[in-house]
Amino acid sequence: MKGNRRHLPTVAWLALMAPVALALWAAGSGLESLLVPYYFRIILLSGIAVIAAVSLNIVNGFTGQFSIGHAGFMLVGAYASAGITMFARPFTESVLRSAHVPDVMLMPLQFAAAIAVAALAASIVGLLVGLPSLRLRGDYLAIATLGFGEGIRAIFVTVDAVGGASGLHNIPPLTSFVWVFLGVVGVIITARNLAASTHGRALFAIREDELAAQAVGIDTFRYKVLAFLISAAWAGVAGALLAHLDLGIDPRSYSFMKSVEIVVMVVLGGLGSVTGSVIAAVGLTWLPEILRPVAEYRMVFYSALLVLLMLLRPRGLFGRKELGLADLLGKKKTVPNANRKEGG
Amino acid sequence: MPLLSVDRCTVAFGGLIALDAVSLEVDQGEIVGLIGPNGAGKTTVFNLITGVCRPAKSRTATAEVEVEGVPLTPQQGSRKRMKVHYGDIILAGESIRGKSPHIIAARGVARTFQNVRLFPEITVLDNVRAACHVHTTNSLPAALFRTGSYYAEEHDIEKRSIHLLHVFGLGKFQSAPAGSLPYGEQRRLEIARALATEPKILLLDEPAAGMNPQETRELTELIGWIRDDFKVSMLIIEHDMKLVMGICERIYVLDYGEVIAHGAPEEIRSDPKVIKAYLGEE
Ligand SMILES: Nc1ncnc2c1ncn2[C@@H]1O[C@H](COP(=O)(O)OP(=O)(O)OP(=O)(O)O)[C@@H](O)[C@H]1O
Ligand SMILES: [Mg+2]
Repeated sequence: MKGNRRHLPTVAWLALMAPVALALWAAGSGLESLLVPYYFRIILLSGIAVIAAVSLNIVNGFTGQFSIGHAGFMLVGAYASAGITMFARPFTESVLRSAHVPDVMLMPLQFAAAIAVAALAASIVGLLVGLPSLRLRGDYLAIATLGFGEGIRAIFVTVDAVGGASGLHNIPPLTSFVWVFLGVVGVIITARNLAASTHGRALFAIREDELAAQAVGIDTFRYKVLAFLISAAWAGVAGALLAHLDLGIDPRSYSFMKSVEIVVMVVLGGLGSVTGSVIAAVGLTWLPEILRPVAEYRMVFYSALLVLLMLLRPRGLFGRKELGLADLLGKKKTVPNANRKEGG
Repeated sequence: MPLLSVDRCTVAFGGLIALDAVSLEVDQGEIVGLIGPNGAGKTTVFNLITGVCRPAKSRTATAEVEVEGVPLTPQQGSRKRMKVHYGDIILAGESIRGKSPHIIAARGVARTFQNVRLFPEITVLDNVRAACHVHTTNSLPAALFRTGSYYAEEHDIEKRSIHLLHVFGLGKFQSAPAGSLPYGEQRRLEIARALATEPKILLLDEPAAGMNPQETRELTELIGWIRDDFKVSMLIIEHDMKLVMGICERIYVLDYGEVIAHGAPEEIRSDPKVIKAYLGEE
């Protein structure tokens, strides 16, 4: 269907994309100097929202498990990354210096390590939460993940070493356009490549009919945990980027409401559609800014828009569809007609 | 040695004994029928074999053991005075009792469901491809980085799946959501999906339900042809007597969770116990 690109390993594809990334980096830096910092910040926030939404979609959309504790994983990632860039900094810096790493590379390397640690920490917590709770179904799973999200926040708030209720401050400003861009590309590739593979089809099968999935040999529990793990890892990345953009961690902003916001992005974009999650995440990040002139009625507009969209497009903006390069170039896929009857 | 043997298994739902020390065997390449009135426990037999239901302790068999004075299996015998046992389910010489459904599927047991259970919102092709999952070897990182072996395996899966769909006359529906197919095609797709797991034995739960006589005739042909082409044994639950008597080499009759008769179709047809179970006479 996609000609030669089909047989290109992702690594090779990324190498080909390098010039594009470089151009984008230049554009990003240009953007940064051109735009009012305020708007530039919203661009970065949109990117972070995309990472959060697409990763949640792997659990809620691909696998059909309803999790509403995503902010909890972001918080774990935020603290873990801050631990590297703040507390472990003297140590990592001395290690890097003794390895004769040039000074300009010191911070980027530390931040890369911080993001990796954030992903790892969040996925470990994901495993710890997923193992017991993924045996639950539907509402029960939702409640368990909600409880986890609030619980993890409560734990951090009581630990004075990480600032207690007032959170962490003075986190170095390391989140730049390039990091966010890399994160966005990374999460989209993860989700799309997963979806196209046999592992992704195992997740879809679980969403569609768990009993039938088992009957064709899919280890449904293992795959639910796996989806949870991948999703949590990327939430950790989003948390790391957010902490180094906000230059601090306020535990209050990683509350249940934050989790709900991400769920809304996923549902609005279309459960299972990566394209939908991307567009809804960007849209919902900009919407409050666009509605700023009518500040008092902002929440009214926001809610009304959500209700309207769900009425007009009950399965989200994109349903389960994806927009690929081929669609953008106007190539039509030939889908044979079957007499479609919509199920209730 | 039979390919599949269920040995004195009991299944209980709370107080209800759905299966009472049921034993049955299916040989290599054999088509066996499983019939009985509504609620007899036929579907429960499938759920038992596929690991959806776990066997319960059996009282009936304990009595048998005490009479015979021989332990059922060595492990159970090593415990002093066997009081209970769970029966056993042997597939190709290995016990699958108590194993998880996905492991039993991987060992070679595939099934269809009484009320068709497809993956309705993914495509017809993906329904079959999802069932190929059980024999895949590629790791998750291979998929995420799209390595050469990933492409090779995915290509292989796609080729096999498309071939299977064509064989079942479903090729033209390949990109349609499975839930949008007409009923008869959905039933056929479910069988194709089951065969994609490359089973040793295929369990069909009322495959002809809801079909007209013409479709039932086609199905009968299909079943015989599947046995020859895919070299699978089959255990078929079916109410359509013409189909059952036509293709099954042996038949088990279940009533109130017990096997009340088994044998060749002619024997079953004239068995007074079977006639009584079906007609419900005094
Ligand atoms: N999961 C379950 N929980 C409780 N009872 C069950 C369960 N599954 C089956 N039963 C009961 O076990 C008995 C046997 O059911 P089963 O579905 O095996 O019958 P069947 O022979 O397949 O009938 P039919 O011809 O109607 O499909 C019935 O009384 C049924 O109500
Ligand atoms: Mg039944």
